[in-house]
Amino acid sequence: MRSGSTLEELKKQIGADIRPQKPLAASWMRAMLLIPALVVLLAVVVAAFGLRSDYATLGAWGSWGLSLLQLAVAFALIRVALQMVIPGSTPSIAVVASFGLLAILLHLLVAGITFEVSPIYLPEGREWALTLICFVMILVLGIVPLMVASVLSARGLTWMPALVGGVCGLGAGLAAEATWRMHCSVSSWGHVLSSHTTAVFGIMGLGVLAGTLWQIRQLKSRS
Amino acid sequence: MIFYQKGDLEAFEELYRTLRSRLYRYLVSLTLNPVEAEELLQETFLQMHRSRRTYQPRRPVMPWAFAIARHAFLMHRRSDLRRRKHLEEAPEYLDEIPIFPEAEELAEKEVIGKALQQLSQEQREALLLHHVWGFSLREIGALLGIRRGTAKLRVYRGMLALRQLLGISE
Repeated sequence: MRSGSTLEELKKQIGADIRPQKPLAASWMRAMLLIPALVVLLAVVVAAFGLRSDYATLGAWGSWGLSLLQLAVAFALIRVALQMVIPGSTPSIAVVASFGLLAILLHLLVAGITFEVSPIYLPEGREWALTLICFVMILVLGIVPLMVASVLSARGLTWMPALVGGVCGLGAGLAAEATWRMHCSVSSWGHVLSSHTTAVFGIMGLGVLAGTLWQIRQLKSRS
Repeated sequence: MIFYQKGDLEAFEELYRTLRSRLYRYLVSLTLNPVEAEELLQETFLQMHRSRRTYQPRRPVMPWAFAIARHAFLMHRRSDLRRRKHLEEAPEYLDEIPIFPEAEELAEKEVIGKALQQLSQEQREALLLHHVWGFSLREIGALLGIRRGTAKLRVYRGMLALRQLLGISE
């Protein structure tokens, strides 16, 4: 092994860019950078579209409480993604999958509780329109937390960028849905699954896509 | 490592001298190809430089460095052409494959080296990380992105498979 010449070559390359770098903060601290974005999104939804019409029926716990619970799980998911990009400290795939599954189950539980307390169906003649509106709005709302989470993840290092992107996407999707449900009062399973849940998975897909493109870019820069 | 993060090039040099031999042997155990291992060693240190912000002070350096070496190996393997080239050129025996003391009691070094090469990459990697470089099962899990229990199973099965290849019963 030619260590002498290798070291000299490395020193030459590294010496050209030896700026001090602050170590990344703990993953939970970095995840907290999402909080301002999520607060703004919530404020925009409530201010621009108004609170859900069945707020009085659900009460504070059924509306804000369940949304905040879902937001907390979304935050935890993004924290997991940010931990995945720290070499040597990666959570196991089993842990990541468990978190993901729990997050989806919680989303379904929130939907189930909401429907039990306040069953509201789509008004006749507006099924497609409202389904599309909810789907698009959740997608749009999810883009901001997805972008923030993706930028934070990109500062780390992982050999599974698509998976990291997917976890970020799932977290961002759940956050967006938790925000939008503060306005959308339609709680029927058909609507929630076809519109809200589909949008959550759509944002997860965008995250996977972002991670895959990142990986392609990394591989191209090597060749 | 902390000084290196602050921009000290001499600290990098010390880090290099401390880690290069271990990282090289780890990469040989992954690639089974000394030439590739040396290329990847260079790439590993460059990646360590690019990702030095990901090192968390007060945590051990070795798991972090090994994880970056592994990252370099996996990204390299993803490049299809190189993977095919690697499969064609794997030699019969590599004396750079690290042998751990527990294995040395079982047979001659060359025999063990050949047997280690025949293990699956997962088992060989877990076995060497634990017995050669002294990583705990928890650290192996964090390095490989698997559970502690899975790491333990790979080490156990690796040792079992090694014994079988050496023709030694339990």
